[in-house]
Amino acid sequence: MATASNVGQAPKSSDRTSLQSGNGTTTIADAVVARIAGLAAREVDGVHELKAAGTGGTIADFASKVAGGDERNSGVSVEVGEREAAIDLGMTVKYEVDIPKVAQAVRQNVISRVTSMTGLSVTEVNITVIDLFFPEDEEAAAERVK
Amino acid sequence: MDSTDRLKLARFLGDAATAVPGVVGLRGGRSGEVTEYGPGGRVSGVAVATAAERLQVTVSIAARYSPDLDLARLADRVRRAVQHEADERIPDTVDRVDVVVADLVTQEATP
Repeated sequence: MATASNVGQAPKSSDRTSLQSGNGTTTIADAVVARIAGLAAREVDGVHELKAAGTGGTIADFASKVAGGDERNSGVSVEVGEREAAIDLGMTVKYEVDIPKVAQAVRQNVISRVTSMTGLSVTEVNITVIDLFFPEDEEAAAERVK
Repeated sequence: MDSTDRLKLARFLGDAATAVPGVVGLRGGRSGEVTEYGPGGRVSGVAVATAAERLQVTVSIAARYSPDLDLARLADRVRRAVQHEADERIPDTVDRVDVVVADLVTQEATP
């Protein structure tokens, strides 16, 4: 959870709290940060879907499902401190895209969205491209089950 | 303040929070962390705590996603709306309103 207090805080965040009239803190849940990062990643053309990377990620997703976690945040994990956030993304990309370029665009969009929406500064966005997506695969799969 | 009054207050404060544009609803947390219980009901997403005869309020909201979303600003608006509502009903009693942004809802997900 990211908590910003307007009582005796670092000058850096004064712009975030200048509108406050009363006292109190603002807390942004980790799940909300993850959700923003996931939506930002999906906006980039070339990204097919977000998916947990590797066996560890699959287990983490499963554990989160069992624990009643948010399925919408599959493939996204975040570490949020008071002022900073680090984000890990696992994704499949469409075949024939320039992977480094797509990854860079994802990184930029995630940083810009998370920063503008939450006020947190993003220290790193680690991206794992776990698979390629071939549109014809999906068509073939659809054929088989007809 | 007894639990009936508290519940009543929590309802008014919750309504003030959800009336802020950009707020979709209140969220009590999976295990009801931010929930006010009282006779005959409960208010999810609002908690009222007493500290030295003063009240501290926590509201937990779900925000609507939009490309120009600014959660810190939204939270400040919610804080002011809730503080204002509290000051109208019980002047000089609530001295702190904490806001938790607990969820984000996209357009497609809301009917």
